[in-house]
Amino acid sequence: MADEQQPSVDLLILTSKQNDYDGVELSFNDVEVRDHPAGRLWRHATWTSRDGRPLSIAIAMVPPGDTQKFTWMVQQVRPRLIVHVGVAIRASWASSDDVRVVTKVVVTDPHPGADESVSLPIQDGQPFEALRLALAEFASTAPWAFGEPLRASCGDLLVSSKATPSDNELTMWDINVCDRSYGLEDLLRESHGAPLIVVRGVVGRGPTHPFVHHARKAAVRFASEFAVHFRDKLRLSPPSRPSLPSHPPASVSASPHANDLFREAVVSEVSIRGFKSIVDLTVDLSHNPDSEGHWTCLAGVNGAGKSATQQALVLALLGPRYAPELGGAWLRRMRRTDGTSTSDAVLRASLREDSDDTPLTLPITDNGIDLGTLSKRESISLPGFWDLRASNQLLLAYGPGRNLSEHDDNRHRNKSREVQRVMTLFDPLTQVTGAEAFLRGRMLAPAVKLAHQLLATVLDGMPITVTSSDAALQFKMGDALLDPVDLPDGFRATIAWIVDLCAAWNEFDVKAAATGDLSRLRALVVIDEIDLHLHPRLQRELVPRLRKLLPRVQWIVSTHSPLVLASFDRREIVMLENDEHGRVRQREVDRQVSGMTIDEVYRWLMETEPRSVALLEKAAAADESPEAAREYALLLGQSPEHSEDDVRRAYAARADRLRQRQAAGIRESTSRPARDDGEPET
Amino acid sequence: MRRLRRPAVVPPTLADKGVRERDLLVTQPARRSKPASHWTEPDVRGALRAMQGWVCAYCLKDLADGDEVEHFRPKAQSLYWWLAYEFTNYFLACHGCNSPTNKGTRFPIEEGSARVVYETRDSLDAEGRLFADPSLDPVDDWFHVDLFRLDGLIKLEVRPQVVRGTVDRTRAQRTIDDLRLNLDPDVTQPRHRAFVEASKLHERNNILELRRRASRFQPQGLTYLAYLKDFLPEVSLPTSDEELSWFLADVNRKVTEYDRLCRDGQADRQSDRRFEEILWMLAAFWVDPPALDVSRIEAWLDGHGFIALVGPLRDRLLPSAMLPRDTRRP
Repeated sequence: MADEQQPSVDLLILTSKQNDYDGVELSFNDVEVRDHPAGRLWRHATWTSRDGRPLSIAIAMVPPGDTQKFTWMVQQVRPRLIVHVGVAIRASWASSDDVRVVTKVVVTDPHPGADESVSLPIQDGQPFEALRLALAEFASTAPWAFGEPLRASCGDLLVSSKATPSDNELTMWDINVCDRSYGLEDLLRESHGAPLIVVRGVVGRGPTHPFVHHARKAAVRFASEFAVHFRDKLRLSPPSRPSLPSHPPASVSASPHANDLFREAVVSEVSIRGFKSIVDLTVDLSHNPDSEGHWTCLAGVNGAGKSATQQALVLALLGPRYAPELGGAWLRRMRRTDGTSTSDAVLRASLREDSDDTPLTLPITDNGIDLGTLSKRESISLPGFWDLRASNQLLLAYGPGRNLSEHDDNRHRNKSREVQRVMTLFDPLTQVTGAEAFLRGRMLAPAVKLAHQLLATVLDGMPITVTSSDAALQFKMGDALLDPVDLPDGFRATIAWIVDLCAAWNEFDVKAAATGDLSRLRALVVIDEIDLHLHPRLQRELVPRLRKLLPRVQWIVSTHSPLVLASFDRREIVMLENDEHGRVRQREVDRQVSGMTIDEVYRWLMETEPRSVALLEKAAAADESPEAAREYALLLGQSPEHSEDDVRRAYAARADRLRQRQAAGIRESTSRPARDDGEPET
Repeated sequence: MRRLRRPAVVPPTLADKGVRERDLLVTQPARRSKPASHWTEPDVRGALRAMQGWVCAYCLKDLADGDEVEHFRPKAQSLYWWLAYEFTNYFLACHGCNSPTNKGTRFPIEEGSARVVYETRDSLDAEGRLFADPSLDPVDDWFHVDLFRLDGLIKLEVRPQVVRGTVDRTRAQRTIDDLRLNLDPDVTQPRHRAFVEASKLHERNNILELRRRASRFQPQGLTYLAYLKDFLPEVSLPTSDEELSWFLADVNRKVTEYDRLCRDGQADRQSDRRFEEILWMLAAFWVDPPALDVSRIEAWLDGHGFIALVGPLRDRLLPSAMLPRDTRRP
């Protein structure tokens, strides 16, 4: 019996189609067919890796959803590792109660909608941390067997080798590891402890593409290479053990932490076509190396397209899975209409990791979101990318309606968390997601701790101070203790999003949030009108403070405040304006505004005369009547140093003096001739 | 507008690059539309500061927050392009006065008078210009701040002594009107505030400060001067020597502030540049002091530790008589 518990093969390759089955078989030189009493059910192959180590492989075809056969196969061959190559085994297994899929390998057709393989995040790594790390290390060290080296950021989910789309069209591979919420223990029992990997390769657009076979072969070879690596690296315990080793070997965990694709990604660019008032606009959002933190500030008059840009960016990042939750009709309405015709909108956000840009392109047509309308070049935006982004990047957006209220808002309850987190940008009446917990003092301790730290620094010097208990933040104004609901309105709009950011981070990355280290907080935060309701003193200090406190957050904010604008380097400012046809365009910001006075920022950047219209009206009236002139003179004399009283007194003294002089018969204003001393020579 | 005494120096940038660039403008008309801006160099600005400190040459506004080098005769291609690098054609002005709504590229001349062009450039002094040049015209005799207008507004006015119908009067009036010296709230507001401030200083009997503010190196000095004349006729007006001494004391404070910035590691390019301008300004004072005398300036520089810094600059500042003039001959 003990012998039977040992794995009999290193790798079980499952396919779901005859084509794939044959293709896999052809990928190996040394294939022997073993007949099972029930028929020709699997084949056996021995393959030698590049470094000469042999690998025993079983190849089988299991039709989609045939869980019985899957279980039976696994029991029969007891593999160390299972890969699935093909297009069909997927969600049907993942959702099955009988067999829980951990991992699978798929070579897939990239035609939009052809494959809906579910890729899911590993929530907290255990015990798949070992597998994840092995994948990461493999990806970062092993040369890719298929032609070019595997450029890999690999982690929870994905290994990608992105070649330039060219003749052979092999553009991407990814490995998906499903998460433990699919019942890890059950699965390990079912698969006798062997992890299952999905390798998904992208080939041409149609199932008959000549390179399907090529890609399949590559997938199999990749899986084989990996199996060798995996076998040596992890020394998998016999399948009888219910789970993988919970801790990876020291050598693996000591390897530098490979970043997951998009975990460190920032948005480097957004380009928008035919969305709201925007005809065609590309905004550079990349990091300015000269300033601390990663900020972009959108400025411009009302209607210049600031909110549209932010909304387009958020939609492009949400992708085809989440964006429709905002409502198909709503999405279609957001497309630009000029008089009679409505053009299709194309929103593209580029995610940059290291120096590679990955575009996420979202077309909105009459049929809603339709990836099928993308040109060949754009088709690189796969649903999987968006899923990865969503699982690796926390996206938060706050519209001008962000607020806290006790009013229960049920309208967006059924929406996914991803969408709830950005909902205020699209629906001004929505509460921020974290509002309820915050208002009712039911926040989680790590979030309270983070929010306390943030608010204590952000609100420093304001009449409001913050204290915290386990689950609640409390505020003090003077001696008076305030509950969150009683916060002054001016602070609410800011405190609301800061608290929500902390709560969302805690939800997104429990481990990092538990450290209480603000500098680890990583997110993409979009804020419309960051200066909303804030006193100028806080407007002036908010951005510099946030730069220091949250250096790893990417911020895309908009503002009408010259004080906020003066906090930015000119390369961080995106100035939007309307051209003569009302189209949105970007104006170059060719000089720093941080050195300018507020007047100058108003005049130069915002093209607004800083003088009040009231004063100018009085100036015009001064020519008309002496009364108006006196009123104007009174206005001109007042300043931060001189009160109205001071000015009245000075003018009264002048009137006295005038009377004295008239009495003395002095007519002219200056009685004395120009002085002689110190007169410059002419 | 107050009388300004232009130091008789030529900043090295103008003597060197300026002359070369001007010769290029003569031979290559295409360059005239966008001449290289050598006038922003610290030696040029420093020499101008020796004339006017941190005060706008036209509206007397405080220039502490920034200024522009203004071409009195516009350097525009269609106008006086060959004067683009002429030190005597420069003033420091505030952004408002230099902007198109006020002075901009305007330079009106008398009707019937011929606009001087490059070929007739030697007759510049005879041109019937309608703007007062504070470094040439006796503007202190022309303008005064009227504190006793019946409508309560404090305006810059042409003295009644300046005879109607004369060139002087036309020029003075035109300057006030075209530069909007009584219209632009940015110009009139500081003047009214200065009056209120003077009145407060008077209330507190701070006569010393009142006299100090009446200096030509102080913003709105003309308003304070009018106040002294009209309200305190018994108080002596500041002398040129006093004005320069006070100004040097202010400059020393600015330098101390810069030293502090350097110590705290907060000095940036802008503050370095300002410091450099100050050194050039002191050099200009040393070559051609507007008051006191060379030996007293030298003693002050020595006493405040500037000799070593300013000495080399002084040697590079040419007295204006030494400007190579041959290039200016037609």
